[in-house]
Amino acid sequence: MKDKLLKKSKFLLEATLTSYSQIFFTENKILASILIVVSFIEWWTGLSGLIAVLTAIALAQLFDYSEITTEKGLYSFNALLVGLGIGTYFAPGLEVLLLIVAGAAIAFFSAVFFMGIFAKYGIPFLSIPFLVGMWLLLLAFPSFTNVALNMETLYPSNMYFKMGGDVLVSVMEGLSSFFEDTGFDTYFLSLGAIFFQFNILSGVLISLGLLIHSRVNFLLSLVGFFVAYGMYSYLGMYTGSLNYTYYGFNFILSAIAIGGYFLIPSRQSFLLSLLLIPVLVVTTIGSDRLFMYFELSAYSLPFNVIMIGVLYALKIRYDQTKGPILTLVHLKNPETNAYLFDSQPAKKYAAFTVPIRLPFMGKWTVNQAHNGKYTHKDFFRFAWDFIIKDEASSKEFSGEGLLVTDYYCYDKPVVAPALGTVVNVLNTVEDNEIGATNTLQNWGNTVVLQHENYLFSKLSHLKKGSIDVNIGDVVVEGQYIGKCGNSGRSPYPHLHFQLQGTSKIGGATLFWPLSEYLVDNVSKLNFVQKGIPKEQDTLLNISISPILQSAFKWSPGDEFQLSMANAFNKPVLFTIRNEIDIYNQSFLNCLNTNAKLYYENNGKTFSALNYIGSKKSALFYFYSSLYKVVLSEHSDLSVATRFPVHHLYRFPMLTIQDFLVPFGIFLKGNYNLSYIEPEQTFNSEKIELKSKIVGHHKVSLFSSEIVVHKNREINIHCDTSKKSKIILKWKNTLYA
Amino acid sequence: MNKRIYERPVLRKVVEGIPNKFGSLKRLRPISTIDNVEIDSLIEEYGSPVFVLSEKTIRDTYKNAYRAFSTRYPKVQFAWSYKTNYLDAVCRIFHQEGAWAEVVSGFEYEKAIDNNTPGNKIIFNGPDKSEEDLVKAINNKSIIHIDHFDELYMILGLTDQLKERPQVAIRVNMDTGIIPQWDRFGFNYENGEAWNAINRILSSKKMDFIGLHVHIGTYITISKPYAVAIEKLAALANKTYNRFQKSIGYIDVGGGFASQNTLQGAYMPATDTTPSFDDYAHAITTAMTAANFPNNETPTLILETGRALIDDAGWLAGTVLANKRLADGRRSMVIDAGVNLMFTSFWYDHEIYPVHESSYQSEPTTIYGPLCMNIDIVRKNIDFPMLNKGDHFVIKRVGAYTMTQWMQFITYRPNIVLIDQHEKVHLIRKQEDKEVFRRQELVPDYLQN
Repeated sequence: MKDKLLKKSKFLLEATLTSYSQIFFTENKILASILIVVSFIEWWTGLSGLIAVLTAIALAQLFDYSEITTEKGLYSFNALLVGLGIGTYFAPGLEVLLLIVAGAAIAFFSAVFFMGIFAKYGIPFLSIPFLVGMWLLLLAFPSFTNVALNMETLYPSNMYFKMGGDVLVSVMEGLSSFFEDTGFDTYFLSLGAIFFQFNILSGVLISLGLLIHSRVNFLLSLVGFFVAYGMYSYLGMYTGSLNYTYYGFNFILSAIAIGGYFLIPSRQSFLLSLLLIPVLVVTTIGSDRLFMYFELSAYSLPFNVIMIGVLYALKIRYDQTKGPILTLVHLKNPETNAYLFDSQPAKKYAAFTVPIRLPFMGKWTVNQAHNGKYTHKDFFRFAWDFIIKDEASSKEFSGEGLLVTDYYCYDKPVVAPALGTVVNVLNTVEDNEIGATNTLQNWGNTVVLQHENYLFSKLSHLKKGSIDVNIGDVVVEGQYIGKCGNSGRSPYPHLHFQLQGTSKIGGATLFWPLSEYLVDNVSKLNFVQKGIPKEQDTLLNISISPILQSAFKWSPGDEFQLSMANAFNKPVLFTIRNEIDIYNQSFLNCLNTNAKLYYENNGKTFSALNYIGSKKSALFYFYSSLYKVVLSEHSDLSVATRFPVHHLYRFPMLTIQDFLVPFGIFLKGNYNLSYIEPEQTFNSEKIELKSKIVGHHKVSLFSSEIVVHKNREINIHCDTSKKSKIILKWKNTLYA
Repeated sequence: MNKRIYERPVLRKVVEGIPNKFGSLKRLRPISTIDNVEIDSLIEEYGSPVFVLSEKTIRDTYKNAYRAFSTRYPKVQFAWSYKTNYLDAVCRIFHQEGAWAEVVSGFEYEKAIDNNTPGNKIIFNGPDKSEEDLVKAINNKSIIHIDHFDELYMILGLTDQLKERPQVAIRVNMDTGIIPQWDRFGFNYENGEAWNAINRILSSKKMDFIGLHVHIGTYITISKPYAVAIEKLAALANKTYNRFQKSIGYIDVGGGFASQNTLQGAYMPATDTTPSFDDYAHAITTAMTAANFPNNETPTLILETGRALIDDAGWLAGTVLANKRLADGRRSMVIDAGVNLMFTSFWYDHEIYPVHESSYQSEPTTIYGPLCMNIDIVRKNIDFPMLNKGDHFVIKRVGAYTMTQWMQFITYRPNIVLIDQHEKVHLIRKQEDKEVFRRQELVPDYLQN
């Protein structure tokens, strides 16, 4: 019972706090606390807001809506805004209390409704519910004769005197005179206006909260506001009007939304947020004049309209891999989003969830890539042609190349690029002689596989009669399908490979990256997590090492003992549990420190996705050492990727970088993993790896020597930048 | 105007029968260069006869072979069969290309180690492995292919004294429908010896059992025997897995791929009949892919190809010693290279060419070697142009077995040179001289003076 009560109150506290911070698109507790304090500068306004929040949370509970959504404050932040608005306009009283509850209810139900509609289009509902609630109440107000206006907020100095005596009054006046005519007074007033606090102190406190939460957001709030401010003067408008119309926050919020939240902070998103300001200015002025007819304020309408329009436009772009990139998972703050995105180049292909691999064995070369010079144009631009080349002569045939059998790729097996069902087979087209093409049966002998409802792959120009699968067969990745041939529009033997959206032979190509392949780079193999192979790339699939595969194969609930020792101390034991959350995201949870390492293991690579929590946990060193492990048995492989810089650097370097995120990421952390040839090729007892993280000027920030044992134990010797040596031992306690 | 070549009178038997539509080519085109290096200049510098190896051909052939298999099967490893040609330079070229070493004696094992082959990349085959050899192989973590029970017992006996666990596989022989059945090597499958050997190995718990080796014969171009062999090995692997929960790491299908040298008595020239690497690769990988190996694992495919990888890269250039007419009127020619250098002449019809045009006519000729032995016949009957004493000839495809099976008999063994990829010539084995033999021989005191 006590437990239940404790859990409930924790939930309530969480939901209330996030209702405040959610207005700035975050769940940051410090910012939330500052915002609560700010709202209570005028006690009645603050109380109204809180009552409205609690009302909305209570309604969400009553209707049994998702606790997680409620906890994120998504049902209640609009109610908060309505509550704050009512508190500002109307004097304290029981009647008004009723209005607050009613207003909160309107905001809550509108939120539910808009969430339902907008979710289909993948766009946020922002503060539209607030606008609905607020406008309805203000339109209804003249009929409520028992409700009085709140005089306190009209005469703020009186209010400050009541609250804090002379001191507060002089602080307030001091602040106003200090910032007078700098534009900053208007900036702070606009920030405060988001919480219906029309004083500079609130603005100062909120901007401080923003700075603590995110340097990027702080910077954007300034840039957004002052660009608009400049626009006002440029267009010949009275900038002082921003002081009493309180529209300034529209520019601040939209700069944060575009430059920081909905898009990954980058040069492009920064530029976009700047370009939108003039649009917003015009929308603001226009809507203000329109709403004057109804004796209403447009409030955040300009922000809502422009944001939703822009986000929808970005969302339905055909090519989502070009910047600016929409943020799919929101982390602590925008700079963290930017750092994590930067460290994982494959992330821009995150939407392409089905892994498609190379449809052959051994090393093949791309002869024609996307937008190729021969035939990969228009509908067929996202296709690849593969051939085999001799490494020494870089020719694709032996002898004179006048017979199909002279070509190295001819008659070589073609395999399924992923698990799928055979949906189309053509196996009767004669192979051409060299130089001849058959444009009547353009694609020649072809197999089409279906991998998903919307995703098909097509393998063409196969050898006549070589196809070994039938319509309806289920094929697994790597399964033999047919042989490379020279049928259809194929003057010389090659394999045409494309992804498409239909089962038709001859369907238009679909842009889709290939997953986890190796690029032959003279003496080294370079790993690509997801990418579009380019012309003349020589590629091969990964061959999996059973030792690495089983060492990183963990089931939810597995518990591990991770011991950490250095030369002097005796080992400290950490208990790590492998867990999986409701979003299907696997993570290792350090039970001692509650640090979490989010990871993905798709059978080909173990990739650390994010690390959250104390860096004192041994899990942090585990994370740094095994940031990206390709479960491969090629020892001439080199894995190179970037390591998130916010896990490598600290104040002040990191703070400077935080501010500069919209202009680029200048701190460096290059992670590299190399494989040491095993002593035993067959029946090997262990696999040795070496990883290092290198900063600017090749300064080593971290290095480790890793031994993965056949019994699934992992031993790691780490060298940190502080010259300390740490020894980690990883052991599954369930098997031991 | 050049001086016209003097043509001696020719005796030619009238051959009856129907010529094909192209007529019959009686003239052999001379071969005067190897990788653009003049053969005359090679003989001038390195003496006659001289073995010439082409590095470019070695590497090209290896790449072709590897590509044929690796684009058909995911895990492929070649092991260079040392006995085919264990010149250090040759072995090192193969090792550079990625081949492991396959050795069949302590001597070859030492050579492999000297060629910087890591111990774990040496496969130790054959029926003759001394205790000393085995100790070395076990300590170096080399892969030992056990041939018979006596060897198995010897290894078992050694395990008590050694720290390292022996890495072993067994060679299996079986009936795949191929005649002759090569049953003298390894353990028989049908009579249960192979299964018995596996049981002894794994029950001892003192060795790591890592693979299966089979070698079904040579010149096999149909998939069926490979399918049968690999199916039987897969059955053995499954049985092993069921009983010991131990899956095997590789299947070694041995070598035996034919070169393009024509066997004596063959109806068609080998260049037309010899299967290509692609043919072998197709047959073997099809069988490997079709077989069900335990635990859903894909064993590595090991190939110990020797002959087909090196034969084309070897040449033998020499000089005509004499021409003579035999009792029955046939022409014969004596050259300075015989069966002492080409043991392979006993079963191959080696292709021999003049270095320069000396005559547009050819005559059925018997070519003899220089030995004072009746059996020294290089070619029994070949239509050959008439060369004069001192003229040069060159023999194609002598890279395999010649330089390992040659005899020091009657005369010294000649220089061997390697033409590298930039067409530079390197001496890789010096010709023998009397010092070589003096060093080996001891004369008892009472025979001195």
